[in-house]
Amino acid sequence: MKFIEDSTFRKAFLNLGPQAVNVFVEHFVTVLNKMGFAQGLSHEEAEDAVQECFSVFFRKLPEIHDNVKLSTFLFGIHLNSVREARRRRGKVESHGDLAAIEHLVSQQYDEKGHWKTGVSPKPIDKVLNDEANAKLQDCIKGLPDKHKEAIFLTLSEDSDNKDLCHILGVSYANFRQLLTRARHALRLCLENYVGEA
Amino acid sequence: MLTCRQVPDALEKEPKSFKDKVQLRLHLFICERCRALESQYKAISIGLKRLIDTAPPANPELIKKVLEDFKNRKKD
Repeated sequence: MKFIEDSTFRKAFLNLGPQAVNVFVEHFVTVLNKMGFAQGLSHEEAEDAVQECFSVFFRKLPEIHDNVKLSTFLFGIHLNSVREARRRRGKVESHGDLAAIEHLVSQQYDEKGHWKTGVSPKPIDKVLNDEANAKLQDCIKGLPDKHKEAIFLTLSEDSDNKDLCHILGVSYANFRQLLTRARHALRLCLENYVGEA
Repeated sequence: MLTCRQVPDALEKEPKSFKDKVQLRLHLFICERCRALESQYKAISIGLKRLIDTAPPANPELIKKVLEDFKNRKKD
């Protein structure tokens, strides 16, 4: 949907042209709903988050700067709606156990930064192929919220790293650290499933 | 030369400079374990994308509600 950032479409959309608004809403309602659900919200919570997000989005649209993409603006607002949905559920922000992840990771390397003898990444492809989403969803639940958000935002279309850092309010170095830690945590969690299989 | 511990961060870095690419490819060429790690990362990305793709579609009523809210806002 690259045309959404096209200058003609953007102009029509910012003028609230009905056709442009319909196309935009139809596309992003689906995308955002799936993103919310994949991040662990229930169907109802994901739908409420989308509705709330668009309500804020249209209210704040006149404030959008020329250099900010419509999709970046929308994803940033959706992120807050998802956080709000978690808060409503009474769930405090999950910080996961990053210290434990760091400890497990550091145990895999020697003091020179090479893999320790006998340690080797396990083939997790099979777990992801055969038992697919359930195990991955289990592992995602254990991630801190900020790491969860970073890893799902990388999957959002048409957003480059600069946009994603802007949405999360972090530097590029921090963003990469969030992603590296999130992937470490997911791979160690999935390796446990390989071990149990 | 990258160490194995630096490889995960090097895999995340985008865009990669020519030097970054050469260093990473060279390391992966000689290190089987880091190649296995790279495959794990790819498998995780595919799994996450599938998780989003297979999430249930939005209720068609939701699109109607959002457009309705928008029209009401415009009237106000």
